[in-house]
Amino acid sequence: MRMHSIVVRCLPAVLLPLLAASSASAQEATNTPAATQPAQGSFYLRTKLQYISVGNDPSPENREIDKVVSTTTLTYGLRRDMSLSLDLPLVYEVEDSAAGTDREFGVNDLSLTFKYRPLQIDLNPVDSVRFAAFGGVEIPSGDGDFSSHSFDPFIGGVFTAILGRHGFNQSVSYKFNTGGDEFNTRAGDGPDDALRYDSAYLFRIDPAEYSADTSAATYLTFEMNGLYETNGDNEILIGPGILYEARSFALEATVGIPIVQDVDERPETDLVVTLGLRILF
Amino acid sequence: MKKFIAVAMLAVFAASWLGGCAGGASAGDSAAVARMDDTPVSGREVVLVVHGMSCPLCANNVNNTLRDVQGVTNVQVDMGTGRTRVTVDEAAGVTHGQLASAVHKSGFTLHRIEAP
Repeated sequence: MRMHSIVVRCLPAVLLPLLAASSASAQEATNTPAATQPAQGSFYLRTKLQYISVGNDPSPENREIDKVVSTTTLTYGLRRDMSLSLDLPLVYEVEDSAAGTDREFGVNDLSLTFKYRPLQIDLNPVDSVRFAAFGGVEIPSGDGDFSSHSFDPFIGGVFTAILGRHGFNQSVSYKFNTGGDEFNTRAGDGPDDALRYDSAYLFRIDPAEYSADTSAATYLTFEMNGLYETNGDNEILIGPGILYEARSFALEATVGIPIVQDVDERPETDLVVTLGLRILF
Repeated sequence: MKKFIAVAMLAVFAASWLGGCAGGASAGDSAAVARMDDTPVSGREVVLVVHGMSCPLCANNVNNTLRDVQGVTNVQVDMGTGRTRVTVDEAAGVTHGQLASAVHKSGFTLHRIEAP
Protein backbone atom coordinates (compact mmCIF):
# COMPACT_ATOMS: atom_id res chain seq x y z
CA MET A 1 0.00 0.00 0.00
CA ARG A 2 2.81 2.41 0.93
CA MET A 3 4.69 1.85 -2.31
CA HIS A 4 1.49 2.49 -4.26
CA SER A 5 0.95 5.88 -2.61
CA ILE A 6 4.58 6.82 -3.14
CA VAL A 7 4.33 6.10 -6.87
CA VAL A 8 1.04 7.97 -7.26
CA ARG A 9 2.43 11.07 -5.56
CA CYS A 10 5.47 11.07 -7.81
CA LEU A 11 3.61 10.54 -11.08
CA PRO A 12 3.29 14.29 -11.91
CA ALA A 13 7.04 14.67 -11.52
CA VAL A 14 7.49 11.86 -14.02
CA LEU A 15 4.84 12.86 -16.55
CA LEU A 16 5.52 16.59 -16.83
CA PRO A 17 8.98 16.22 -18.44
CA LEU A 18 7.56 13.83 -21.03
CA LEU A 19 5.52 16.67 -22.54
CA ALA A 20 8.72 18.32 -23.72
CA ALA A 21 10.20 17.62 -27.13
CA SER A 22 13.24 15.44 -26.96
CA SER A 23 15.52 13.08 -28.71
CA ALA A 24 17.34 10.19 -27.12
CA SER A 25 20.54 8.33 -26.47
CA ALA A 26 20.91 4.61 -27.23
CA GLN A 27 23.09 1.62 -26.43
CA GLU A 28 23.14 2.92 -22.91
CA ALA A 29 22.02 0.68 -20.08
CA THR A 30 19.81 2.09 -17.36
CA ASN A 31 22.32 2.85 -14.60
CA THR A 32 25.62 2.69 -16.50
CA PRO A 33 26.91 5.55 -18.66
CA ALA A 34 27.84 5.04 -22.33
CA ALA A 35 30.13 6.86 -24.76
CA THR A 36 27.19 8.06 -26.81
CA GLN A 37 25.84 11.53 -27.43
CA PRO A 38 23.02 13.24 -29.29
CA ALA A 39 23.64 14.76 -32.70
CA GLN A 40 25.09 18.27 -32.85
CA GLY A 41 22.42 20.84 -32.10
CA SER A 42 19.97 18.25 -30.76
CA PHE A 43 18.34 18.03 -27.38
CA TYR A 44 17.16 14.86 -25.71
CA LEU A 45 15.18 14.19 -22.62
CA ARG A 46 15.31 11.06 -20.52
CA THR A 47 13.26 10.21 -17.45
CA LYS A 48 14.01 7.51 -14.91
CA LEU A 49 11.70 6.50 -12.06
CA GLN A 50 13.44 4.60 -9.29
CA TYR A 51 12.12 2.89 -6.19
CA ILE A 52 14.93 2.66 -3.63
CA SER A 53 14.72 0.89 -0.30
CA VAL A 54 17.44 1.42 2.33
CA GLY A 55 17.82 0.00 5.80
CA ASN A 56 20.24 -1.30 8.42
CA ASP A 57 20.92 2.30 9.44
CA PRO A 58 24.02 2.67 11.66
CA SER A 59 22.81 6.01 13.06
CA PRO A 60 21.08 6.23 16.46
CA GLU A 61 17.78 6.89 14.61
CA ASN A 62 17.80 3.38 13.08
CA ARG A 63 15.87 4.57 10.02
CA GLU A 64 14.22 2.53 7.30
CA ILE A 65 13.54 4.52 4.18
CA ASP A 66 11.55 3.95 1.02
CA LYS A 67 11.91 6.54 -1.66
CA VAL A 68 10.81 7.18 -5.21
CA VAL A 69 13.25 9.25 -7.24
CA SER A 70 12.27 10.76 -10.57
CA THR A 71 15.36 11.92 -12.44
CA THR A 72 14.97 13.97 -15.58
CA THR A 73 18.06 14.41 -17.73
CA LEU A 74 18.27 17.06 -20.46
CA THR A 75 21.24 16.69 -22.82
CA TYR A 76 22.37 19.01 -25.61
CA GLY A 77 24.76 18.05 -28.40
CA LEU A 78 27.38 20.81 -28.54
CA ARG A 79 29.24 18.97 -31.28
CA ARG A 80 29.07 15.43 -32.63
CA ASP A 81 31.62 14.52 -29.92
CA MET A 82 30.64 16.87 -27.09
CA SER A 83 27.55 17.23 -24.99
CA LEU A 84 26.26 18.96 -21.90
CA SER A 85 23.72 17.36 -19.55
CA LEU A 86 21.66 18.55 -16.62
CA ASP A 87 20.07 16.10 -14.18
CA LEU A 88 17.13 17.12 -12.00
CA PRO A 89 16.13 14.56 -9.33
CA LEU A 90 12.82 14.86 -7.52
CA VAL A 91 12.28 12.66 -4.48
CA TYR A 92 9.38 11.40 -2.42
CA GLU A 93 10.60 9.75 0.75
CA VAL A 94 8.94 7.80 3.55
CA GLU A 95 11.14 7.41 6.61
CA ASP A 96 10.36 5.09 9.52
CA SER A 97 12.34 5.61 12.71
CA ALA A 98 11.96 5.42 16.44
CA ALA A 99 10.42 8.89 16.28
CA GLY A 100 7.66 7.74 13.93
CA THR A 101 6.95 7.97 10.21
CA ASP A 102 7.95 11.01 8.21
CA ARG A 103 6.92 11.71 4.59
CA GLU A 104 8.68 14.35 2.55
CA PHE A 105 8.92 15.58 -1.03
CA GLY A 106 12.06 17.33 -2.13
CA VAL A 107 14.79 17.97 -4.66
CA ASN A 108 18.15 16.22 -4.53
CA ASP A 109 21.26 17.98 -5.76
CA LEU A 110 21.37 18.73 -9.49
CA SER A 111 24.18 17.51 -11.70
CA LEU A 112 25.82 19.31 -14.64
CA THR A 113 27.99 17.05 -16.85
CA PHE A 114 30.25 17.80 -19.82
CA LYS A 115 31.13 14.79 -22.00
CA TYR A 116 33.83 14.62 -24.68
CA ARG A 117 34.32 11.60 -26.94
CA PRO A 118 37.85 11.66 -28.41
CA LEU A 119 37.73 8.09 -29.70
CA GLN A 120 35.17 6.68 -32.10
CA ILE A 121 35.95 3.84 -34.45
CA ASP A 122 32.93 2.75 -36.51
CA LEU A 123 34.06 -0.60 -37.86
CA ASN A 124 31.11 -1.41 -40.13
CA PRO A 125 27.40 -0.53 -40.40
CA VAL A 126 26.72 -1.75 -36.85
CA ASP A 127 29.94 -2.26 -34.88
CA SER A 128 31.57 0.61 -33.05
CA VAL A 129 34.19 1.20 -30.35
CA ARG A 130 34.15 4.46 -28.42
CA PHE A 131 35.66 6.20 -25.41
CA ALA A 132 34.39 9.32 -23.71
CA ALA A 133 35.67 11.37 -20.79
CA PHE A 134 33.28 13.31 -18.65
CA GLY A 135 33.36 15.76 -15.81
CA GLY A 136 31.11 18.15 -14.03
CA VAL A 137 29.74 19.29 -10.76
CA GLU A 138 26.85 18.45 -8.48
CA ILE A 139 25.01 21.63 -7.65
CA PRO A 140 23.29 21.88 -4.27
CA SER A 141 19.52 22.11 -4.39
CA GLY A 142 19.60 23.60 -0.90
CA ASP A 143 16.51 21.57 -0.06
CA GLY A 144 17.01 20.58 3.58
CA ASP A 145 18.12 17.00 4.12
CA PHE A 146 17.74 16.27 0.41
CA SER A 147 20.83 18.35 -0.37
CA SER A 148 24.51 18.05 0.51
CA HIS A 149 24.62 21.89 0.49
CA SER A 150 27.95 21.72 -1.32
CA PHE A 151 29.33 21.91 -4.85
CA ASP A 152 30.91 18.53 -5.56
CA PRO A 153 33.02 18.16 -8.74
CA PHE A 154 33.43 14.80 -10.44
CA ILE A 155 35.41 13.33 -13.30
CA GLY A 156 35.31 10.04 -15.15
CA GLY A 157 35.61 7.99 -18.31
CA VAL A 158 33.51 5.43 -20.14
CA PHE A 159 34.36 2.83 -22.76
CA THR A 160 31.66 1.47 -25.10
CA ALA A 161 31.93 -1.37 -27.59
CA ILE A 162 29.11 -2.58 -29.81
CA LEU A 163 29.97 -5.78 -31.65
CA GLY A 164 27.11 -7.41 -33.48
CA ARG A 165 24.42 -8.31 -31.00
CA HIS A 166 26.66 -7.58 -28.02
CA GLY A 167 27.18 -4.27 -26.29
CA PHE A 168 29.61 -3.49 -23.48
CA ASN A 169 29.93 -0.37 -21.34
CA GLN A 170 32.56 0.18 -18.66
CA SER A 171 32.62 3.39 -16.65
CA VAL A 172 34.68 4.78 -13.77
CA SER A 173 34.07 8.11 -12.06
CA TYR A 174 35.34 9.91 -8.97
CA LYS A 175 33.43 12.53 -7.05
CA PHE A 176 35.12 14.97 -4.71
CA ASN A 177 32.55 15.50 -1.96
CA THR A 178 33.15 18.88 -0.34
CA GLY A 179 30.17 18.66 2.03
CA GLY A 180 27.52 16.17 3.05
CA ASP A 181 26.28 14.75 6.34
CA GLU A 182 27.31 11.74 8.38
CA PHE A 183 24.92 8.77 8.05
CA ASN A 184 23.70 10.21 4.73
CA THR A 185 20.86 8.20 3.16
CA ARG A 186 22.02 8.97 -0.39
CA ALA A 187 24.80 6.56 -1.27
CA GLY A 188 27.89 8.45 -2.43
CA ASP A 189 26.65 11.82 -1.21
CA GLY A 190 28.19 11.87 2.25
CA PRO A 191 31.25 13.79 3.45
CA ASP A 192 33.71 11.29 1.94
CA ASP A 193 34.73 11.05 -1.71
CA ALA A 194 33.02 8.47 -3.91
CA LEU A 195 34.42 6.20 -6.62
CA ARG A 196 31.80 4.67 -8.92
CA TYR A 197 32.61 1.70 -11.12
CA ASP A 198 29.89 0.50 -13.47
CA SER A 199 29.71 -2.26 -16.07
CA ALA A 200 26.91 -3.20 -18.41
CA TYR A 201 26.36 -5.92 -20.97
CA LEU A 202 23.56 -5.66 -23.51
CA PHE A 203 22.49 -8.54 -25.75
CA ARG A 204 20.11 -7.89 -28.63
CA ILE A 205 17.58 -10.70 -28.49
CA ASP A 206 15.54 -9.40 -31.41
CA PRO A 207 16.17 -8.99 -34.27
CA ALA A 208 19.08 -11.36 -34.83
CA GLU A 209 20.21 -9.24 -37.77
CA TYR A 210 19.27 -5.69 -38.71
CA SER A 211 17.63 -5.05 -42.06
CA ALA A 212 15.89 -2.29 -44.00
CA ASP A 213 12.65 -3.26 -42.25
CA THR A 214 14.02 -3.00 -38.72
CA SER A 215 11.84 -0.65 -36.69
CA ALA A 216 12.68 -1.77 -33.16
CA ALA A 217 15.10 -3.86 -31.14
CA THR A 218 14.88 -5.60 -27.79
CA TYR A 219 17.88 -6.09 -25.52
CA LEU A 220 18.48 -8.04 -22.36
CA THR A 221 20.78 -6.07 -20.09
CA PHE A 222 22.94 -7.02 -17.15
CA GLU A 223 24.58 -4.37 -14.99
CA MET A 224 27.03 -4.33 -12.14
CA ASN A 225 27.08 -0.98 -10.33
CA GLY A 226 29.69 -0.41 -7.64
CA LEU A 227 30.30 2.41 -5.20
CA TYR A 228 33.41 2.75 -3.04
CA GLU A 229 33.57 5.64 -0.57
CA THR A 230 36.85 6.78 0.96
CA ASN A 231 35.51 6.10 4.46
CA GLY A 232 35.87 2.42 3.55
CA ASP A 233 32.26 1.68 2.57
CA ASN A 234 31.86 -0.45 -0.54
CA GLU A 235 28.64 -1.63 -2.18
CA ILE A 236 27.98 -3.51 -5.43
CA LEU A 237 24.56 -4.01 -6.98
CA ILE A 238 23.87 -6.36 -9.86
CA GLY A 239 20.76 -6.46 -11.92
CA PRO A 240 19.08 -7.87 -14.98
CA GLY A 241 17.04 -5.61 -17.15
CA ILE A 242 15.29 -5.20 -20.43
CA LEU A 243 15.45 -2.43 -23.01
CA TYR A 244 12.98 -2.03 -25.88
CA GLU A 245 14.07 0.51 -28.43
CA ALA A 246 12.02 1.75 -31.37
CA ARG A 247 13.09 4.44 -33.80
CA SER A 248 11.34 7.18 -31.83
CA PHE A 249 11.28 5.98 -28.23
CA ALA A 250 12.75 3.46 -25.80
CA LEU A 251 11.43 1.76 -22.67
CA GLU A 252 13.63 0.23 -20.02
CA ALA A 253 13.30 -1.64 -16.74
CA THR A 254 15.92 -3.01 -14.40
CA VAL A 255 16.37 -4.29 -10.86
CA GLY A 256 19.38 -3.66 -8.61
CA ILE A 257 20.17 -6.25 -5.93
CA PRO A 258 23.13 -5.86 -3.57
CA ILE A 259 25.73 -8.62 -3.68
CA VAL A 260 28.50 -6.83 -1.80
CA GLN A 261 27.73 -4.64 1.19
CA ASP A 262 30.61 -3.57 3.34
CA VAL A 263 28.78 -0.47 4.58
CA ASP A 264 29.17 0.94 8.09
CA GLU A 265 28.83 4.72 7.67
CA ARG A 266 25.36 4.98 6.11
CA PRO A 267 22.19 2.89 5.60
CA GLU A 268 22.55 -0.03 3.19
CA THR A 269 20.74 -0.27 -0.12
CA ASP A 270 18.23 -3.13 0.00
CA LEU A 271 16.68 -2.88 -3.45
CA VAL A 272 16.52 -0.59 -6.47
CA VAL A 273 13.83 -0.89 -9.16
CA THR A 274 14.13 1.41 -12.15
CA LEU A 275 11.76 2.21 -15.00
CA GLY A 276 12.73 4.56 -17.78
CA LEU A 277 11.41 6.25 -20.88
CA ARG A 278 13.37 7.97 -23.65
CA ILE A 279 11.57 9.83 -26.39
CA LEU A 280 12.77 10.99 -29.80
CA PHE A 281 10.82 13.63 -31.69
CA MET B 1 44.77 6.99 -1.76
CA LYS B 2 42.37 9.87 -2.49
CA LYS B 3 45.13 11.90 -4.11
CA PHE B 4 46.25 8.94 -6.20
CA ILE B 5 42.76 8.31 -7.52
CA ALA B 6 42.21 12.00 -8.25
CA VAL B 7 45.48 12.33 -10.14
CA ALA B 8 44.81 9.13 -12.08
CA MET B 9 41.37 10.35 -13.15
CA LEU B 10 42.74 13.73 -14.22
CA ALA B 11 45.50 11.98 -16.18
CA VAL B 12 42.92 9.83 -17.99
CA PHE B 13 40.90 12.92 -18.87
CA ALA B 14 43.93 14.83 -20.15
CA ALA B 15 45.25 11.86 -22.11
CA SER B 16 41.90 11.31 -23.79
CA TRP B 17 41.75 14.96 -24.79
CA LEU B 18 45.26 14.93 -26.24
CA GLY B 19 44.73 11.54 -27.83
CA GLY B 20 41.57 12.73 -29.47
CA CYS B 21 43.29 15.73 -30.97
CA ALA B 22 46.20 13.71 -32.36
CA GLY B 23 44.84 10.23 -33.08
CA GLY B 24 41.70 11.34 -34.81
CA ALA B 25 43.60 13.28 -37.42
CA SER B 26 44.00 10.67 -40.15
CA ALA B 27 40.41 9.43 -40.01
CA GLY B 28 39.22 13.00 -39.79
CA ASP B 29 41.15 14.05 -42.90
CA SER B 30 39.09 11.97 -45.35
CA ALA B 31 35.89 12.90 -43.58
CA ALA B 32 36.79 16.58 -43.77
CA VAL B 33 37.50 16.22 -47.50
CA ALA B 34 34.10 14.62 -48.01
CA ARG B 35 32.40 17.49 -46.23
CA MET B 36 34.03 19.98 -48.61
CA ASP B 37 32.90 18.11 -51.72
CA ASP B 38 30.59 20.46 -53.57
CA THR B 39 29.71 17.93 -56.26
CA PRO B 40 25.93 18.14 -56.69
CA VAL B 41 23.88 14.99 -56.34
CA SER B 42 23.33 13.50 -59.77
CA GLY B 43 19.67 12.76 -60.36
CA ARG B 44 17.08 12.42 -57.61
CA GLU B 45 18.76 9.83 -55.45
CA VAL B 46 22.09 9.06 -53.87
CA VAL B 47 23.16 6.32 -51.47
CA LEU B 48 25.33 7.03 -48.46
CA VAL B 49 26.97 4.09 -46.73
CA VAL B 50 27.05 4.98 -43.04
CA HIS B 51 28.90 3.07 -40.33
CA GLY B 52 28.25 2.88 -36.59
CA MET B 53 24.43 2.89 -36.56
CA SER B 54 24.15 0.21 -33.94
CA CYS B 55 20.55 0.76 -32.87
CA PRO B 56 17.15 1.99 -34.17
CA LEU B 57 17.50 5.33 -32.40
CA CYS B 58 20.88 5.82 -34.08
CA ALA B 59 19.28 5.28 -37.49
CA ASN B 60 16.58 7.81 -36.65
CA ASN B 61 19.26 10.31 -35.63
CA VAL B 62 20.88 10.02 -39.08
CA ASN B 63 17.46 10.16 -40.72
CA ASN B 64 16.48 13.38 -38.92
CA THR B 65 19.81 15.11 -39.50
CA LEU B 66 19.74 14.35 -43.23
CA ARG B 67 16.15 15.52 -43.51
CA ASP B 68 17.25 18.88 -42.07
CA VAL B 69 19.35 19.48 -45.20
CA GLN B 70 17.44 21.83 -47.49
CA GLY B 71 16.43 19.95 -50.61
CA VAL B 72 16.31 16.48 -49.05
CA THR B 73 12.81 15.07 -49.48
CA ASN B 74 13.14 11.51 -48.19
CA VAL B 75 15.58 9.29 -46.32
CA GLN B 76 15.49 5.50 -45.97
CA VAL B 77 18.01 3.81 -43.72
CA ASP B 78 18.91 0.10 -44.05
CA MET B 79 20.41 -0.68 -40.68
CA GLY B 80 21.74 -4.05 -41.86
CA THR B 81 23.98 -2.68 -44.60
CA GLY B 82 24.29 0.96 -43.56
CA ARG B 83 23.00 1.98 -47.00
CA THR B 84 21.05 5.19 -46.59
CA ARG B 85 19.01 6.13 -49.64
CA VAL B 86 18.55 9.90 -49.87
CA THR B 87 16.01 11.44 -52.24
CA VAL B 88 16.55 15.08 -53.18
CA ASP B 89 14.82 17.85 -55.04
CA GLU B 90 17.08 18.21 -58.08
CA ALA B 91 16.39 21.95 -58.30
CA ALA B 92 17.77 22.50 -54.81
CA GLY B 93 21.32 21.56 -55.84
CA VAL B 94 22.11 19.44 -52.79
CA THR B 95 25.81 18.59 -52.73
CA HIS B 96 27.71 15.54 -51.51
CA GLY B 97 29.42 17.80 -49.00
CA GLN B 98 26.13 18.88 -47.45
CA LEU B 99 25.10 15.26 -47.00
CA ALA B 100 28.51 14.31 -45.62
CA SER B 101 28.30 17.19 -43.14
CA ALA B 102 24.88 16.05 -41.99
CA VAL B 103 26.14 12.52 -41.32
CA HIS B 104 29.13 14.00 -39.49
CA LYS B 105 26.86 16.16 -37.31
CA SER B 106 24.68 13.17 -36.47
CA GLY B 107 27.71 11.49 -34.86
CA PHE B 108 28.31 8.60 -37.28
CA THR B 109 30.83 7.81 -40.01
CA LEU B 110 30.23 8.25 -43.73
CA HIS B 111 32.05 5.33 -45.36
CA ARG B 112 31.33 6.20 -48.99
CA ILE B 113 28.84 7.74 -51.40
CA GLU B 114 27.38 5.53 -54.12
CA ALA B 115 25.16 5.96 -57.11
CA PRO B 116 21.77 4.29 -56.41
